[in-house]
Amino acid sequence: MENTVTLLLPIIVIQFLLLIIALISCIRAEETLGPKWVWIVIIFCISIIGPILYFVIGQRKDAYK
Amino acid sequence: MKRFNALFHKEWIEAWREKKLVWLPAVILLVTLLQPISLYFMPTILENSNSLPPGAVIELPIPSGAEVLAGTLSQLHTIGTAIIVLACMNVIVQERNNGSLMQLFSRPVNTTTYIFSKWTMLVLLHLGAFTISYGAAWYYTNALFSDVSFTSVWKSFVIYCLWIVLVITVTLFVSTFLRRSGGVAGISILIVASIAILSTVMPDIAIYLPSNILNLATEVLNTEKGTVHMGAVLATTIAFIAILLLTMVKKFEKSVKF
Repeated sequence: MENTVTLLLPIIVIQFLLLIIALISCIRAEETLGPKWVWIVIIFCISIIGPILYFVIGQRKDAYK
Repeated sequence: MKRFNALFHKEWIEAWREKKLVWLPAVILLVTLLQPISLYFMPTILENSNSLPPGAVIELPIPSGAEVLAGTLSQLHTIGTAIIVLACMNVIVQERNNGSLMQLFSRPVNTTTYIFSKWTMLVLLHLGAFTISYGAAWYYTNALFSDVSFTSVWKSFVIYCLWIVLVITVTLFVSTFLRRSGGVAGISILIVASIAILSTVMPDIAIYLPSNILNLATEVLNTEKGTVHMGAVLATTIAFIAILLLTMVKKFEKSVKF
């Protein structure tokens, strides 16, 4: 059982990292493509794919300067 | 060279702002790591699934390390390629649409420098991510399954790198003449998929084409040496990349003249 946890740890950590970075960048962005709260829900609820979706199509490039 | 450095630097800053520098390696790492780990846990997963009738006996042969790594590559070939296209589709299109391209080319900037700075940055970023993830997958494979020799891993790595560079180049190529990132993604995936499908539709010709890269890498993993066609495949891939880059630069030069 301990073996299982150590094996799965990197995957869990990476997934968590993605979620946190996506959330921080979404909250700090002045503007996102579409309502911000929807993006936060997407990032939280769809694991792995949610953060990727936000990074690929949710960011607005001229929103930060 | 000075301008190239300035543009190149700008690309990295932008990648950091978009957090592409973080999410791309993380996602590729996830995709590659899931394969050896899920293969390792497959018996447990099957045991705990309720869909089997009681008393069913499943005996799975334990795959060799080379087979596991080959599986990792084929996983990357499907999901990873899509991720690479998604990560690259915005780079030129967005700058064109928000006007910063106009601003940039009102200064004495060469289109060749511009394209090459983008291309170099994307290639370095993706290859870096691939190196980390492939290394991690190799480590896991050695720890959970049987050992794979360094030479075969190294050779398959180099061969597969060419595919990644090809995908990046195709995406950049498409984005020089389309104005919507969705369209860029669609067309690029279509082109890449048709290259990949060629190996089943026309197997006689496709052994010399980039479509054979995955098979080659798998074979190198299994036997430690490539087939006779290896040189031909590598040559056509490099030629293909060079042609795409040249036409892209030419085409882009025309499209930014006002």
